[in-house]
Amino acid sequence: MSVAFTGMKKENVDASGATTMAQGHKFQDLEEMGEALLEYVNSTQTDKLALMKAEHQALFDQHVETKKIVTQILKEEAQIEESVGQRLLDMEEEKQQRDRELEGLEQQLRQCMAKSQITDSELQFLKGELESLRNAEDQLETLQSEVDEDTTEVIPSAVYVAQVYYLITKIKWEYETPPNILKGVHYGTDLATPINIDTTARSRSNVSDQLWGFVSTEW
Amino acid sequence: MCLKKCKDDEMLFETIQTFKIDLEQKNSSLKEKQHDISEVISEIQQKEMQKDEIIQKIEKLKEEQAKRKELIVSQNKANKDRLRNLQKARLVFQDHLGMEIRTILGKTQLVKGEKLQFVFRNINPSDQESAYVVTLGIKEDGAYQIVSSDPVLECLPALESRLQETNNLPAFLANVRKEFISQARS
Repeated sequence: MSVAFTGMKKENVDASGATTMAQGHKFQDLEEMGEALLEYVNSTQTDKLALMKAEHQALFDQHVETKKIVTQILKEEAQIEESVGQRLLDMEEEKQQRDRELEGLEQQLRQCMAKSQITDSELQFLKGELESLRNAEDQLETLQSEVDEDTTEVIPSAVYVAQVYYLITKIKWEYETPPNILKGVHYGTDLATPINIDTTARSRSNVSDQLWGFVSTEW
Repeated sequence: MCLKKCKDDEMLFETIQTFKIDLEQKNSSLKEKQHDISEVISEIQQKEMQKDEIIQKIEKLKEEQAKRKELIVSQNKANKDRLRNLQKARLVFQDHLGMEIRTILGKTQLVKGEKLQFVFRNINPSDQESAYVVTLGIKEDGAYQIVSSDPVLECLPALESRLQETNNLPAFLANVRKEFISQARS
């Protein structure tokens, strides 16, 4: 190195010689460095390198392994995604089907409720009919008791009175006559006598007297 | 990118959860609806049964009623017709013969006239409406008994004994009438 310094101090004397000398010095340096490097390389650092290489290899292997695993994971994930996606679609379809079913049931329910209401009003109508039949029944009962009363009391009583009248007068009347004409027959013991009186021409007591004339005062 | 994927996947699972819950709700709605429908159907069935019952009742009642009605109506008509004729006769006797017969009921039910009242009108020419009454009772053996007369007739007891002797009601009444007339027209 002292040679270099010496060279540099004397530079202005011989430029090219100095340069060559400088280059020569540089090559020397390189050589020395090369040697030093070779020495270094050939020294114990080789183990370190080998170690480094091994580590590097290990890292590489790990990387490959990791990549494999990650790829697998991603693959599985893709599969899962696919199946999940499918599941989602299935669920979507199921949901739509349920919606349709629900719609159907809603409609069914509406129909049933409508039918129920119709049946209700039919029942109401029928109950009304039954009620009016029961009323008719009551009316019938009333008529029946009127008939019963007539049959058991009113008619017998009227018949009795008619019988008494006949017993006393022996007269039977004709009814299809004009209003002022009194027509009938008196059934005497031997004789049947017709009666024909114009009541407008006579006084009441006069008519009565004549009719009573048919009833004998003889005991 | 992994993070984004993670987020997407999380959303996916959330969606699935939502769907799941939704589906469960829908299923329970369906069950409910089905249940409601069954209830309504059984209600309807009950009501139909009720209907049938009532219809049967109505049919039966209508039939019975129709029969009864026919019978009752015809009986009533016959009764009323008979009564009408009996009434006519009674009126003619009442108005023209001038004698009304009244049956007076005792406390018990009418037994062929426990008492008979004979109401004479057309006796007094100046007051045709005024009434002359004689009341008789009929005993269990059928014998007549005079109860009273209005106006009073002095000869009534004599007439009563003749009546009881002969049982001749027509003659008795004719004589009573004669007495009333002689009282009224003298």
